[in-house]
Amino acid sequence: MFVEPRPGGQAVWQRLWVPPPGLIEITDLLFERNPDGTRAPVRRASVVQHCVEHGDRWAAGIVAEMPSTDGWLDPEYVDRLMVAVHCEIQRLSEEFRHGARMAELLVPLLATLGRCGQPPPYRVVDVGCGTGYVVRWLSDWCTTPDVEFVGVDLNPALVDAARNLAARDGVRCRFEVADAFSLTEPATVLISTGVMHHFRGPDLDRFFAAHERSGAAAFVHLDFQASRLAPIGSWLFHHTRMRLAVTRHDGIRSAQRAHGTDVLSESATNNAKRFETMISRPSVRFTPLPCVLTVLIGTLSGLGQPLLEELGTAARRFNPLR
Amino acid sequence: MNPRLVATVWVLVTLDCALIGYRLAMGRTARLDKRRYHQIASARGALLGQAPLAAVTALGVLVVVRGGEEVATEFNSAMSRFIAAGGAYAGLILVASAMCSLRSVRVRTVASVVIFGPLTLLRPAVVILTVAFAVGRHPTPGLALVGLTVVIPGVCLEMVLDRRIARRLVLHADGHTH
Repeated sequence: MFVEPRPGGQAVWQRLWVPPPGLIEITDLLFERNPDGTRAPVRRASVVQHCVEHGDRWAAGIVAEMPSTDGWLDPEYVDRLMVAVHCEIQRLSEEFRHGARMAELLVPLLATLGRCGQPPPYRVVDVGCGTGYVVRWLSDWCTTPDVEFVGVDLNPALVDAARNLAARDGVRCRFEVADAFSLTEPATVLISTGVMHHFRGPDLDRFFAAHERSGAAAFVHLDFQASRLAPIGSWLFHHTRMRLAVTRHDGIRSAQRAHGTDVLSESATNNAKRFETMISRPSVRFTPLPCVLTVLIGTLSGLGQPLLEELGTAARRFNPLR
Repeated sequence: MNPRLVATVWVLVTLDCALIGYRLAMGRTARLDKRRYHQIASARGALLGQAPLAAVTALGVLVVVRGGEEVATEFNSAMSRFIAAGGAYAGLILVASAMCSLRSVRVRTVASVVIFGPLTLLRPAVVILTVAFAVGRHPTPGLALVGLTVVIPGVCLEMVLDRRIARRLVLHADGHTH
């Protein structure tokens, strides 16, 4: 007989200074799919046990309080929770100006593609777009018909919310429930913000290997940078700005789970072999201060040098890898 | 009571209430253009603050009228100290707001993350310390009572409303909750 484990609590200082051995995010555990793509029911006790097994009693406590029917998590509640969490997380994207940062990189990248024999139209696909903040921001900023912005996510509730928000915002972009690497109309450029840290170990290798079969000419991925200050900054940010326990938990764990530039560099160069990659320098120029975000850019072979030229002075922020 | 000091305190507290309204509105809509939404939220916050502000002012007038000239002088110097400490905090907010209007993405990020973040976290302590600094030099029972009526709503109002919003956040989540 399965006995639901007692989740218990965890003091704030423990959440920050003593991260659990297996770093997990609650939102990764609430949505599962059957092999045929349909949604699979999720047993609350299994998620709680998973959290306890990974040493994250804070997460276990949060999940244990979620509404369930006969032990199964209420799917409607989970959908609403996911939308609410992503709505809160958007504050992070807004304050870190993810849209503007992505635009700063896309302009020289698309110019490089044009210069090197790949004429428009271009399709920019956001991998794991959530409620589509970056795609909507970019669509609002760039209204030329030469560039199409597409947001892709595996969670239908988030994609629905993204579509509704895009309609309300009056922006020209589209959202799909799909695998971003196997689209019928493949991407020219794959982008993501805050997605890479969700892939651990072999999954990260598979993530980069998937770029090979996607047909994309380039990718730009932004994520938190691992540093000693990141968990403290993240704790401060999420405790002052986020209301939901899930958002606070996942936000702090995101910073603790962030990959180092060495991990990202190695995985990208070994698995996205058709691409020339470059990664942003880990510290602010002329200071020992760590940068908050890591930017990983990949371009098909031969486009790396032209891109560095297009980037101009911004190229100093990057270390070419291959 | 010096009317100019009263007016300055009123402006400072009303600005703080407008910022409370702004913070309470944040994270509740995923729309791109939130200017109108935030303007309405700030106006609501400023309006909401008028009731406790009026109550504190009425209490202050009562204390001064019953205490005479000496209490009025103490009250004025307490208000001056409140303006000095609160003004310093407001100054930092203004500097960060000015930074947010610059073009540089990185400067704007630093302003909102490094200045607004810690200031929001420290705000309850700032309210308590500002009132303690204002009242603490010559603490009379009347001044202490007025100080307490400033601290309690100043610290608790935002917390209570924020928790109320948090409880309803998931219930009505569609990416655009008012």
